[in-house]
Amino acid sequence: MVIFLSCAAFSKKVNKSVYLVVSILTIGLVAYDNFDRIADPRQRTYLDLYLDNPALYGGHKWGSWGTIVNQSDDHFYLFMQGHTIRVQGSVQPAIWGETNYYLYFGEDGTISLIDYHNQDYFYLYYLLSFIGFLIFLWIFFKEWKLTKRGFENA
Amino acid sequence: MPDWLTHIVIALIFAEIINTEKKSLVILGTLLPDILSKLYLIFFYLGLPPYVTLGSFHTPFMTFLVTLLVAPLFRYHRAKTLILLNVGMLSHYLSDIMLRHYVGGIRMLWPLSEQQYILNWFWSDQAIYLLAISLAAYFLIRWSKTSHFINTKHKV
Repeated sequence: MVIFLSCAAFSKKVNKSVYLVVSILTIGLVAYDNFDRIADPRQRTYLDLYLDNPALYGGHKWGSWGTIVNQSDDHFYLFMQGHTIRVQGSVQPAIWGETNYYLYFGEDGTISLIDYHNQDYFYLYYLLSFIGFLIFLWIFFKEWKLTKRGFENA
Repeated sequence: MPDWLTHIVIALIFAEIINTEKKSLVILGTLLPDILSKLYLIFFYLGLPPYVTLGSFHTPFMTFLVTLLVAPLFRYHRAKTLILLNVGMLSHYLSDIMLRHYVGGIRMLWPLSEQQYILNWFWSDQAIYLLAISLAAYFLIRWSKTSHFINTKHKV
């Protein structure tokens, strides 16, 4: 009986230690990913680098999500990753959705549109996700009940 | 990413295939990569520069670590809980890797590699077709089980 109790206590200590190590590792990796992005210029987005020095970083194709701020016949202003940029070309804005842009970044500082994809009615997917989340909660609380010791069989 | 409903239906297919009585754990596993990593959307919609990234949570290794942290919350067989959460995680990355992007993908091997992987099969707004196919597959499996075409005696 004494051996069993001491084994259980040892196992509890090991479980706690493993939990602590995994917690530290998780937080450490999130910090590493953030620090890596800030400290290492190669981890900055291409747009950051290009806007700092178009002559050095120009001549490449790159793409991301963006929102049109202002549109004219032959160019438009795009809000992308914290920057507002002028893009040569014209686009048809997405209907109730978002747009993915594929751009060419010239060495002279001009940015031109290569291709874009409108995700029309994409905001409906947020509604679907919300419905999905409600279904998840329904299934979850059908199977589990919350107690002081955690989730137990419902 | 496909919407959460598509992720959930695909997770339910996996749950039916492995014949588990705790389907919610598989579903939780499939939602985990998105729940934390998508907090960056707050920055996006507030128009703030994305200074802090939680994108690392949308990698298989980090999701695995999160499942290790989440599993003890359940008063259930520890190994089974972990397996079910990770089956859900697997279904999430299998459906996400099919998406199409101009640039980028999923850092499947992070933190060992920054390399991003993507199959470029369809845009995320076309995930409605995946949802339709997944729903059909799910109900087919359910029907096969109720019609006893599939042995359902052994549960995980």
